[in-house]
Amino acid sequence: MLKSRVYSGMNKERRFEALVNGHSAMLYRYAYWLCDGHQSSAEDVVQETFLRAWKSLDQLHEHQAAKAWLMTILRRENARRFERKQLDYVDVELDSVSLDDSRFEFELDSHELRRAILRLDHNYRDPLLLQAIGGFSCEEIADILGLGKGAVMTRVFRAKKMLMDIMNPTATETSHG
Amino acid sequence: MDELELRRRSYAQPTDSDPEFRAWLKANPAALETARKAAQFDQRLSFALNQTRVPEGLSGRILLNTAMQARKRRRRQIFTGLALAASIVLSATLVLAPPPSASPAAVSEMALSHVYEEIAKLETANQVIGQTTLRGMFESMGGELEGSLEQVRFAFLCPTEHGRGLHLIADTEAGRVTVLYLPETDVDAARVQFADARFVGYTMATNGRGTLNVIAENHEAVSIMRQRLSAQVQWRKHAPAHASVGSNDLVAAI
Repeated sequence: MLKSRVYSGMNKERRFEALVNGHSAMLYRYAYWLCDGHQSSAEDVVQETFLRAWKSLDQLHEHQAAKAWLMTILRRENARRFERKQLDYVDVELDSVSLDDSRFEFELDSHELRRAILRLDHNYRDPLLLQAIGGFSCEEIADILGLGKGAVMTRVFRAKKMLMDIMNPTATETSHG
Repeated sequence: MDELELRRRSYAQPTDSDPEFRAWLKANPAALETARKAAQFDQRLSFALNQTRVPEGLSGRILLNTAMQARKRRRRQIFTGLALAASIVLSATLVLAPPPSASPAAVSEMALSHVYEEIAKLETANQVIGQTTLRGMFESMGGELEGSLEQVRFAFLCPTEHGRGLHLIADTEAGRVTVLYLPETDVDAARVQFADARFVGYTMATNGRGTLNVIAENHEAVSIMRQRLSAQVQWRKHAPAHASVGSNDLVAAI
């Protein structure tokens, strides 16, 4: 409550600056995967998102709601771009992804995992990105995507199963979903 | 919830705190193992997705672009302060930041940005992190936790721009505090203390291989945590080249 009061007491420029500083990196990562690994498209979408956010900033009353609000705007901007021009995306610009794989155990298979994620259909990839990058629960994802919670859970479940099968085909438990 | 939904949830949201789901896991060792594996996979997934390199100076470009668009539309100088701030950020990024190491000015921005990215954690973290786990995590960063660091509610080895860093959230008498070890960063003498509209912070030196950044919503909480860290953590000259962490540390939530 106190945070909300502090936030609402800030002028529009300061609120906007706080949004940009706080969320632009996360939004870029989300856009990057949404745009099939196309860096310049991802940055364009993020720029368009913040332009739209600036115009509509008065609609954002709670700072806690900012991330979901920005994600929703970004999805719409991406859909608009997609309608305007069907871009010929490259497979994936993996040079934009840190490949310092020798240092950490997780990074050993991150390269393969990133490629597997890009092979997922957007119906499965989108809710997974919102969970893994945005940190949203299935309920919150359902609100953002305009789907039922059960549908989101099914898509996330299937997305993870597909990735786990690709990454380790013999180890995942047989299950039905 | 029927059996199918419970099984689905063990993959889709394995750390869900729903009582019925937790009770079902407790009664089904095989399902608990599935959920544990799914939680481990979630960590790998999050790591892989969040390794995407964010372009240098993105925030500055966004502020500048928005300021220019607003000025064009309205023909008024409502954005003077913002444009100036954006210009300074952009200039500093372009001129002062020699890749690959972070510019000193970027450390506080990296720290604040990381806090905002994980803002939900700051507000909801309620785990009890053991001293052994914390010791292992500091160890992998090149530090030694000699005493204890109490009331830590979240601990994770996060991907950062320059490799894996340490992210802690702890409670103090003056409020909640975030501690971030950011590898390959240096203390900027001109911005040891920093602040934005919501948070205040302080950058501490460690072993010359990274910085400890303490961030909270008030100076007192920052001060308390700084004193605790200074008293309890010692830093070796060099961090190990191949830091590793056990799966227990990474899946503390399950």
